[in-house]
Amino acid sequence: MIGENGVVNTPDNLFSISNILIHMTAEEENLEKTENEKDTGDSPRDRNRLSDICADIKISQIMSKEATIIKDDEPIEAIIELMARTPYHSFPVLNSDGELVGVIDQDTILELLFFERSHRDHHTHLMAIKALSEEAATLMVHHPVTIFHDASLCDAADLMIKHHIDRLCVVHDKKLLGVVSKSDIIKKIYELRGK
Amino acid sequence: METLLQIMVILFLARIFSEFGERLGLPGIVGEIGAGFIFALVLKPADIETFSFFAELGAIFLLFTAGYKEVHVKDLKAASTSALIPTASQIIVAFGLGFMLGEMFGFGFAESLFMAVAFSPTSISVVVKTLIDTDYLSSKPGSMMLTSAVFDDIIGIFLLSIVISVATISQFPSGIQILLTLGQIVVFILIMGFLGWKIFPFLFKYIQKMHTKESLFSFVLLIALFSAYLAEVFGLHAVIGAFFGGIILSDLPLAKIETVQKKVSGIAYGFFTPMFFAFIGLSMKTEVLFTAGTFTILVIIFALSGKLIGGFIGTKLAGFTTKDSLIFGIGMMPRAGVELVVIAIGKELEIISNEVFSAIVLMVVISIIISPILLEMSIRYKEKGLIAS
Repeated sequence: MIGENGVVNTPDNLFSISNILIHMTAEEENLEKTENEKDTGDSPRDRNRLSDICADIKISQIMSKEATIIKDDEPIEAIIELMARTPYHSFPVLNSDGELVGVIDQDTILELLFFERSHRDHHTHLMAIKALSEEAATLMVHHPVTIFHDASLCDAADLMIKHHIDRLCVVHDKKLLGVVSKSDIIKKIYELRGK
Repeated sequence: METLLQIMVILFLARIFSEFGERLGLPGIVGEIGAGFIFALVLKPADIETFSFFAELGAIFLLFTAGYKEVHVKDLKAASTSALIPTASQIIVAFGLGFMLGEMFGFGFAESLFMAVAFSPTSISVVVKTLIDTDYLSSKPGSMMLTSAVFDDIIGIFLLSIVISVATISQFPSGIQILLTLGQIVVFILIMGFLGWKIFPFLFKYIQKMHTKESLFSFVLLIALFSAYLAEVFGLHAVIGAFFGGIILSDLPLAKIETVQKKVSGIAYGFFTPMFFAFIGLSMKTEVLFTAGTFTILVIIFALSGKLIGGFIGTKLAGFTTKDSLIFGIGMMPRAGVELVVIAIGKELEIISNEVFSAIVLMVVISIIISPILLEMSIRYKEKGLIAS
C-alpha cells in the first residue's frame, strides 16, 4: 500500500521499516508494538516518530494532481455550477499561462451572493465591487496560501493547523502542480499507521 | 479621572453610541464621534494624554486597515480609464471650493490647503446600503461611484502627503520645494515597494514557522508601526506610512490569512479606531460653531456641493444623462475616515483652527446623515420621472 506512492524506494527514510511491519501478522505486530512501547516508551501514535516520518514525505507525493480549477475569465454562473457539481470547498484560479492567480471558495461566493443581506459593516467598497463582478478574476481572493512542491508533509500540516486552512495550492514557479487538503494528509497518516 | 477608567468609559460609550447609530440606520462612526462629544461635555476630563495617544494609534490603524483590507492595486489599473474624468472632476471641484472658502475667510495658505484636502475624498461605503436597497448598485451611476471611489483613498493620501510636507511654508511652495516633497514621497514608496516585493515575502515564510504565540499577527502589527515610523523619518506623516504598509501587505498571502485578518480587524475596529473617532468628537468645540455660524454653514454647503457639482460635470462629460449625473454627484458627497484623519493632523500640527476643525467634523456628520437620504430621493425621483432630463 505504501509502496504504491514510490516512497519506499527512498533509501534514507523510515518507510522501509513501516513497510516491513505491514507484512507481519496482526498478533506479531501487537506483540512488537507492546515490546517497543515497553523499551522506548514509543507507540504508533508517538508524535515525534510521526513527525520524523512526515518530515521526509514531500508534498508532491501526497497532493492531488488532478485538481478542479477555474480559469480567471470564467463567468460567475459557471463557477456556481461547478460548486454545485463538485464536493470541493475551494478552487484554484489560473490565468491563461497556467499560473496560479487566486482562489475561490464557497465562503467567498456565498458572501457575495448574499451581499445585500449582509450587515452594513460588510458593505465596504471592495466587497461592493466584488459583488458586482461577473468573472473569476475579480471575484477571487488574490492571495492564495501556497506551498512549494518540495515542502514536507509536516510543513503543510503545520500551516493548516496553525492557521485553520483546509486546502493548500502546491506550486512551482507560479505554476499549479496540485492541491493538498487536510484529508490528503489524514489519508497518508492512515496509510502509515496501517488499518 | 484615572487613565484606566477614562479609557474604559470612552470605549464603553463609543460602543453603546455606535450601536444606537447602527439601530437608527447610521454608520457607527456617527455614534463614536457622539460618544467623544458627550464624554467631553459631561465629564470634562482634564488629562487626556493617554486617550490622545490611543487616538493617534487609531488614526494609524484606520489607514493601515484601509490599505490592508480595502485597496486592491490591480483594481486601480482596470478602473483607471473609465472613471478618469468623473473622478478628476469631483476631486478638483471639491478641492477648489475648499481652498476658495479658506481664501474667502482670509486663512493662511496651509490652512486653506488642509481644508481643500479635507473636502476632497469620498467615503462611498456610507451609501452602499442605499444603493443596494434601491437596487442601484449595479446601475451605471452606481458602478461609476464604486469605480471612482477606488482612487479616493489613494488620492486623499497623496494630497495629504503633499500638504503636510508644505504645511510649514506660509506661501505657495516653490518648484524646488514641490520637487523635494515629491522626491521624499517617491523614495519612501520605492523603499516600501522593495520591502513588499522582496523582503516581507521572504520574512513571512520564517515568521509563519515561529513558535512564539501569534507571531504572524504581531508582525503584521509591527509592519504597520514600522511603516508609520519610516514615513516620519522621510518627513511624511505616520498615517501615510501606515496606509502604504497596509497596501504592501494586502497581497501577501501569509499576512492575509483569514485568521490574521480577523485579529487585525478586531484590534483596529474593536479598540483603536473607536478611540480615534471618539477623540474627534471630544475635540469638537460647539461654542466655536455658534460663533462661526456663517462659516460652518458655508463649509457644509461648499463641501457637499463641490462633490455634487464636480461629480455632475464629470459624468456629463463622460456621457451620462442628467439624472444619472445627479445621482452620481450625490453619491460622492459622504465623507468619513480619511477626511477626519486629515483634519486631526491639521489640528495636531496647529495649522487649522478650532473653527475649521469643528466645522469640518460637523460637515462629515451631516454628509453621513443626509447623503443616503438625498441619494434615495434622487433615485426615486428618477424612477418616477419627476426630474426632467
